[in-house]
Amino acid sequence: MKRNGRLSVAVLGAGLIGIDLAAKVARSRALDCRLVVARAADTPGLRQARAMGLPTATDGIGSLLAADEPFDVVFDATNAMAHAEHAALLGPFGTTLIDLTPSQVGRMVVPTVNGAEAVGHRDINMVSCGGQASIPLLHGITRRHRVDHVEVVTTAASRSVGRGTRLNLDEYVETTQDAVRDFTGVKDVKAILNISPARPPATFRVAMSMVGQDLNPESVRAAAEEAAGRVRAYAAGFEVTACVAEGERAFVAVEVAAGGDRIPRYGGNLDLINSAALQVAEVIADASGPSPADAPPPKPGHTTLAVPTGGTETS
Amino acid sequence: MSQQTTGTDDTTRGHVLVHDPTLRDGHHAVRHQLTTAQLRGYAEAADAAGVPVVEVGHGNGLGASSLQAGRARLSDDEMLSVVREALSNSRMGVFMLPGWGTMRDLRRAMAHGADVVRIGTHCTEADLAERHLGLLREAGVEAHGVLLMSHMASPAQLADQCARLVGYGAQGVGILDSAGHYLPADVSARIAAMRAAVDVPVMFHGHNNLGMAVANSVAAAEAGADILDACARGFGAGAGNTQLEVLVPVLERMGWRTGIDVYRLLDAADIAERELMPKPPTIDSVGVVSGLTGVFSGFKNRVLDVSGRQGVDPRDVFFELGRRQAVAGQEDLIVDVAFALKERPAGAGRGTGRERRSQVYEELKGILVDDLQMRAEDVVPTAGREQVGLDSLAAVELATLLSDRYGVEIHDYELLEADTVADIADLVAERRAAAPGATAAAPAPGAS
Repeated sequence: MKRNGRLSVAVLGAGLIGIDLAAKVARSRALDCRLVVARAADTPGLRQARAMGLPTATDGIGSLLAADEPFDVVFDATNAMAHAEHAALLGPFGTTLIDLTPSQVGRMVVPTVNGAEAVGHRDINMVSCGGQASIPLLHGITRRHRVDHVEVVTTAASRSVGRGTRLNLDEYVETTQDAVRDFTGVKDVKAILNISPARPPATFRVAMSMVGQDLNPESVRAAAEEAAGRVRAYAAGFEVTACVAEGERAFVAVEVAAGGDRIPRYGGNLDLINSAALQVAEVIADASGPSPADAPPPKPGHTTLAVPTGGTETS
Repeated sequence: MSQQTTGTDDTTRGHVLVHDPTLRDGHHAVRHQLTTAQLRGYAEAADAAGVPVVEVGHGNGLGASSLQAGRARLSDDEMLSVVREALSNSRMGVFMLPGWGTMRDLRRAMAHGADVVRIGTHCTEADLAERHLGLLREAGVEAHGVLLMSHMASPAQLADQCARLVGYGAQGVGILDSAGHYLPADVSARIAAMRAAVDVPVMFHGHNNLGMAVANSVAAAEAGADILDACARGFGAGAGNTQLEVLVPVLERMGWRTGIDVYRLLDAADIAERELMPKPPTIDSVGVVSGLTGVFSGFKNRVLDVSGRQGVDPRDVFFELGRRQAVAGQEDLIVDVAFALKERPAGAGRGTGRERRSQVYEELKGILVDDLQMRAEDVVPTAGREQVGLDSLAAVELATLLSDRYGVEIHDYELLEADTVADIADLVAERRAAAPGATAAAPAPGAS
């Protein structure tokens, strides 16, 4: 229920992703963070959520089902194995799920490519951090060039990869592959994930290799930079760090530095997927009708919408 | 399982299980292009010699054929079918890195009759193997957990990671000297720590970049390793692996039993040299540098390709990859590193012994700007302390940061005595060059 012009939101999961997401939701002028849920009382994540002044609960999905009124939006930041059950349990309440796990259950959304499609789907999947980093560029490049093979190699700093992701490596690989296939139309796709314990930690990085035809450097670079610019609208630390193309081969690498308050610079993987998820929730909030005049003013640091859905930005 | 439990008689020190990854690690040396005839020929010869385990696959394991690591001539299915058929006594081994292959690949390998499955992770990331080891145990196949690039972790860290692997279900654990960086004492300390932490068989896998592979493997056995990896003619990534037909007679002569027929093993090694490789692996200049810098051996061909295209010295590329602490699988970094080196001003010195001044300067600038919040435009080589704002408090902070990052001791008063930022960079470079292990561009925590 939209109250004070804001959608009611709960964050399910209080790991690295859940807590940064809660902080981002708490800043949003379109969303009202009503609950952060973990499965145990004294986790570091929940302590941080309490320190931010957010309401917390400890009974996992049970805490959401026991709430007095259903939430408009629930972010699922648990793990891929659990998501289908969460979706089944929350479905009857009319809640929209935005899934940060690589479960592949819901509609896959990448804001700069199909952000508008978020409206009207009740279960939205944010693919993976590697998918959010690569698909905008690959989509742009494959629209201009014939590409027959795509490879996406992600490197994330060890400290930025939490327990859920560690248990979901296979789901990460398969979901990223399937999403790249769906969004680009290229059939032959391979995804690889490396986790680096280097110190100081390596900035989140995604390298894309392509085999195709007439991959000329100017046009590949232009497509990559154009896409990167659109992603920067919600993830400011998104940079193309390498771009080489010569006929049948192209190689493009991006690095994403986290600009967030709760994530160290190297953790661009967390910042990117969370910023994309927030973006989707705000698109949904906008589509659900204009806010009343008494909506709180925007706070500094609020990101602008990259994919307006016809409605004007509330301000 | 452990040979220390057997008698004290020097002539019977117990049994060592030799595991032969010639047809997996050797793939790195020939860009993953072995044919079915080559696989069959060697597998039959190893089987005839009584080699207990013959491992096969792409160099980076199941599901790893890729632009990143090289595309294999044969599919995993084709490789496993032909080797399975060729083995009548030897067991078939496979290898997989989570993040590269998935449980789908494991199920296919089991359907092909893989007997021993190794799940590899970077040496500090054992928990990435948890679900895969669980799946293998459920399926009833022998499951081992192995740690790559193990020189980047201390003995205590490795022991802890091995204990976790056992907790996830591993029936054997081990370390790979993926960069060929170890000296025998490094291996003894690590294997002893692992041996004390787990009660399953312990494995060592050597590379020969510094000419130490056989000596390191012997040191591992003496410290309590139960399983040793070795390849025919050392056929493997970079400077090659421990040479199988040398290791086995050495072990036998020292009193260990391997159950391998040495004469037939020599035949198998001759077949390997004739049929599998254009030439046996040698320790060339690049191999030495790769071992010194602690960079994954499998990077060699890609580094040579990219360096050739960009016109940079491959040795510089290895030093820079070492400095960035690249892990196995990060081949994509090679392109970035080569570009960065190409754009570097000419005349910068070599990395070994003396650190490159400009490189150290750039890192120092990063610390001053990112960590100490100094203004980037103020930080120039000729800037004095006042200009950048390095007061006594900041000097204490900087001294701590430098010792954390580089493991060198620099006192705050020394920093205050330096006139300019360039002088501080020189001081850091000098200390890093003088520090123990300075040959490795970036000694990892705990590396010896």
